[in-house]
Amino acid sequence: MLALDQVSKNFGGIRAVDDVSFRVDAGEILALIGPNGSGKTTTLNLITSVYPVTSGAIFFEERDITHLRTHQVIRTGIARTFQNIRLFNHLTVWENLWVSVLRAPGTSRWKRWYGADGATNSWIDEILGYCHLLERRHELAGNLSLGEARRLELARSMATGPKLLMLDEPAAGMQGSEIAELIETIRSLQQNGTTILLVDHVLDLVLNVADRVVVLNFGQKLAEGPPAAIQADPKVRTAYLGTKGKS
Amino acid sequence: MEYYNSLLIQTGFHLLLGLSVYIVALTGQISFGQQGFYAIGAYLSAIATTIWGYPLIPALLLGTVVSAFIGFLVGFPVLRLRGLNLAIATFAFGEIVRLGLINLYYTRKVGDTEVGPVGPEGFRHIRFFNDNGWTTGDVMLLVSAIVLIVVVLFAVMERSRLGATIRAVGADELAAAMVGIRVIWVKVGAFAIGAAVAGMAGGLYAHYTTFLSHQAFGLSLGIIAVAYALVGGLGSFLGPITGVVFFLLLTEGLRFLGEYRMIIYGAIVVLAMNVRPHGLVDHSVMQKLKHLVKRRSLAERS
Repeated sequence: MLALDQVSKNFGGIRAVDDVSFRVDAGEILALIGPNGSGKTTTLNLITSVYPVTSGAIFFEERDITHLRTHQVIRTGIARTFQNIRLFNHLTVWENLWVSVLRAPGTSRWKRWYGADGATNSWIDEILGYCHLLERRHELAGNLSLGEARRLELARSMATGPKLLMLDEPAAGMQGSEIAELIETIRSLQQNGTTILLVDHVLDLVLNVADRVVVLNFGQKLAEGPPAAIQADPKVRTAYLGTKGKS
Repeated sequence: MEYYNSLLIQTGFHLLLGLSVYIVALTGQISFGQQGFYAIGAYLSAIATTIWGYPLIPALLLGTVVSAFIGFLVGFPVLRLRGLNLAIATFAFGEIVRLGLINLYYTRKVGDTEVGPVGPEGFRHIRFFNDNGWTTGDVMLLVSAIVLIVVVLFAVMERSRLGATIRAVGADELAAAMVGIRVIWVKVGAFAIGAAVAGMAGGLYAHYTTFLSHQAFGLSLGIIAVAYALVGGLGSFLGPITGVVFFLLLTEGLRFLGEYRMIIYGAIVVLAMNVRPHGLVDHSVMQKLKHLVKRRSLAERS
């Protein structure tokens, strides 16, 4: 579905992403893990054209999206969340989703722009209900708690109707029970047909939900495989598990 | 009566200028160049009525549309800038227009008078209202009607998805692009709408004063227009309106202080910005207002 082909990114003299290739298959949950500064978020930024790639190519559903602008990438059916939450703080929870709806099923173009027509309404309410935000819909996004704000980030990216959803450290700052809830959410998204690229270093989460894992270290791909194999891989253990000791 | 009519008319111009800055400010940009569009609208519509013999409304619309189009063209390069650079670029635009007007010579003999802009001497004999027997009261009604139309359009726009999209871009451009919003188009579109509103205001101003000079379109006009929007607040279109009323009350209400007026005036503006850094009508005020209206309408229904 998504394929990175020898993608590199230089910032000045620093090679933040170095010749990375991997693919995400339709319907799977792929986890992209690695220590801090290993290039995970940069990779997401390259996919979504926040920065241009230095070399290499990115394909989505056989189409070359390397040089599309950010909003064009999103319109091909990719959505993402941000590690450091970036909501539209002066808009209400409901409006945050309203501006993000690209193709609510069965709406006319004009109605979508002016009114809150039935189809868009129920689509937004459905997503808000799914993310447990329905009763907060009239609150300004800036007034939400951290947990609610993370759920709104997720809800907003879902509102664009993505085929591929990329989550950037969705578990950051979460407690045990919240992580369990997040795992449920990610699994049910997968069951509804959304492909997921999960960036995180909370291993509980990653090893629990991922079908496959790609490990980055110093901008390079270190390993790729099913979670059990990754956990056993000595290279990964020294580079990541051993030194960080996080699990 | 004449005094109140002129006061209302001039308040109308300033309301339009404030709204013109406001819509640009919603996308997160501050423009110190709206007086440039005001000047373009003023000169163009005045030329249209005096030299080309247009009726008033088509002349005003011409000024509005051309301003919007120039805003659109200028917007693409200028709105890629941010912060201080953007402020300087918009200010430079205002000055380019003003310097252009100093060098604008375009006259024609109509009857036995030579009309049209004569470079630095300005543009005299814009006599449409005089020739057609409009009283100040009539002009006041026309200005009020146009302000009302613009305000209603703004109110409708704010409730629409377009309004929410403009605010989303103002809140966070990267996040906006990340939900598929065409950020540059929204910014340029808002800039063009602001230019249109300023152009319309300029056309009205030209016909009301009957004399245009480049001196009327200096930076101080651009700064006061920005002050309306920022002191008034960006929570809703009520913000810049509140801003204009606030400055009007200060100017008129402090007249009894004589020479000390400007000191007190400045102190009150500084105080207002300290007490309400996001303006008098900011987002939290609007949120409270909306809750209040909702509660009342619920109470009425039950």
